[in-house]
Amino acid sequence: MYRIIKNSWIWFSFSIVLAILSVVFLVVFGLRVGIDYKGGTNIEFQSSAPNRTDLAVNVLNADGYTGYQIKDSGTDRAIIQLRTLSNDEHIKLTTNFKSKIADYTETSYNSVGPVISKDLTVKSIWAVIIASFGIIIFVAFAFRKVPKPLSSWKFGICAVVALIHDLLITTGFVALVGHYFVWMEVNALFVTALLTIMGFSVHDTIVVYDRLRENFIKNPKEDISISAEESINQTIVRSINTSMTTIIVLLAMLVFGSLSVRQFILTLVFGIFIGTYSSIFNATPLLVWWHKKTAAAK
Amino acid sequence: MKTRRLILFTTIMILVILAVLIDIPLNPGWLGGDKIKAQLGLDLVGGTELIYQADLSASTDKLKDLNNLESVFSQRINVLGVAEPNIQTSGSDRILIDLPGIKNIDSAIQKIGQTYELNFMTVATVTDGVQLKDYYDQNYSYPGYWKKSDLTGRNLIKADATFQNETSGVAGSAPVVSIQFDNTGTEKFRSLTQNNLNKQIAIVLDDKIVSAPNVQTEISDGRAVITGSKDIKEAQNLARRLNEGILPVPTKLIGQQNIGATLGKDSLKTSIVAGLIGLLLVSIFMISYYKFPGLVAMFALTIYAIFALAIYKIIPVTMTLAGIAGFVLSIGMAIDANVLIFERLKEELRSGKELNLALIDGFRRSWNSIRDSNISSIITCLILYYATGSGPVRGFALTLMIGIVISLFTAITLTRTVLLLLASSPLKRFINV
Repeated sequence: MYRIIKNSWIWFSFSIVLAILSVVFLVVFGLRVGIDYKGGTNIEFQSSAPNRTDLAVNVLNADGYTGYQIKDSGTDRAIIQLRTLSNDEHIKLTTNFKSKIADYTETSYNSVGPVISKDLTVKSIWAVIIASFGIIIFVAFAFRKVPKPLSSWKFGICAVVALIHDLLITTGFVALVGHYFVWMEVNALFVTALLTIMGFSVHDTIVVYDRLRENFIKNPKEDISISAEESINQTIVRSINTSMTTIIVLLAMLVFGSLSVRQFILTLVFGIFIGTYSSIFNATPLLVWWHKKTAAAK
Repeated sequence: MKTRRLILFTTIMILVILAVLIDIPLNPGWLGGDKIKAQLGLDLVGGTELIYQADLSASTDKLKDLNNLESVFSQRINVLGVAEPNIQTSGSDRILIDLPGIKNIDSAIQKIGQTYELNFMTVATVTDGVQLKDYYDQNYSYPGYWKKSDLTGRNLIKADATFQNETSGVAGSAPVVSIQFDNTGTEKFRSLTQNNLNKQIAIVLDDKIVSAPNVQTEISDGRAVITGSKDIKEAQNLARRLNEGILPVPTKLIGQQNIGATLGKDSLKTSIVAGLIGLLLVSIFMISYYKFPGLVAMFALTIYAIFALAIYKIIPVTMTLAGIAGFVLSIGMAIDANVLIFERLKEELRSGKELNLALIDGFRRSWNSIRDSNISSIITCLILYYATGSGPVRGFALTLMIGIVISLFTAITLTRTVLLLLASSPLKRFINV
């Protein structure tokens, strides 16, 4: 028997530390906002030259570009983000790159006007808000038959607190990796990854809650800490195995799959990992803590 | 009971055979043949996506103008020789154009977005007019000075090459281009001819005079002819140029995405390899952890993949990298249902239940968790699909959602049927989680 509830304070402190670190990363490093959301151009190129980013910077400076960003995106690739280019500017820049960078090949070119980006930003924010409320309402509804004195709204809210924790820490992770290691940016796929992590996190949490409800109905007199401890222990193997299989598949995609979705997959792997952690170590302990607190107040 | 399960199992297997036939690249004619084929997104085949925004501020019938614009774009793209272009309107004023496998992107952009300037100019003086060249002979300066009227090519509906006598009934067979104005244009042309009786009106294309006939009478039917073509071929060229240049509304290229063809093919290949490796690793894990039932789960999972791919092909879902990621994630969800069931089965067996009963109870008890957790995932998918509305996100949400729905069927009905059939067969001693 794993003592999860009993050691709640360890997990809570661990999560709070991670959350604070994430906020620090977000404030200090910041997130690189992708062109999906602010408009502009992304050029990804391939070149065997080890100093390809320096060479590209020289060309960009010589052509009078400012405010661009550049970073390696793989062993032989780099991404440049800069303002929106006209067709002629793009042709000219490509010619200049080709003359200065060994075997320069443009692998992808993506340009987004400010109109599209404004649209997407609004839509994505709405997607996250609607999804959160959708989940609270669904969980509250799914657990409406939960016996007194448990409240189904607490189930919904604790599930959402756990997932906000997952999203915050994942975003902090992206800020850290994006600053030190590879190109990471907030684009439509990043938001997709966050929403998927939300789905997974709640999926996991619901399985534990479901068990808690079942145990509570079977044994209503039992202390909630004991029922919760039991429920977590009954579902922990499942939670870990399921996340394991999903992470195995994702890791295969990360190692062998296409570079273009590497950032997306990396975000997912980390998020699902954190989501599994929080559904075991946060969601249920939080529910127990909250329930006891309100019970004591009465 | 057993007969019913056997019938169910056989039905599923027949469906599997049908799905395999749909999955293979050349499905038989009676199953749709060529009509059903895998749709691959630009990021998997390489190509260009262009996003145009139409300026509909002056438009009275926005929907009609946008649809007209779409068909003009289609005509222009058809001559580019792209294998399977996809042109669709998006939102209230956008047109998305996918050009898979296109090589010469820059010239394609020029051809798609080209416009010309057609003006009808009247006689002016040195002070308020300009001098213009001749359209056919660009070294020749047309005599006189000209200024713009309010009638332009925007009011043009179509242009045809024909012979003069066919339209006017007058003898002679000079090749001409007859043009037709829309309602506004007809009115403008009427007042223009009225005000310039017995004067010249120049028809000016891209600042070069095509012809400058003398107005002999007021014209109120919105038709005019452009003379001066040497032969019918020249007239046809001019007419085509005018037709091609008609864009119902001003447009702007606001987004562009190019993906190299090699990158696309590479992505497709690596994604398939990665998917297979992932599946293999998961199989190893499931079979080593859950033994024989794990094998049954992998069997169900394979059938799940066969069904999912067939349905993606039938709908059809355009497969993109994000879509593949959605599919792979749905594999995770499909396995989750089986993991939940097996963990429950283990508990039921530990409590001393006989295998058949333990199976039935295990399935029944795990159903709540499977249902609730999958509904919450489906809710997320629906929100992703409807609230974001962007290409890759939609593709991801759609494949994931279809995957979840099918996995609910295969992971539960199929695994259950197979395990229960096995439980009443000599193989039963292998079922031990």
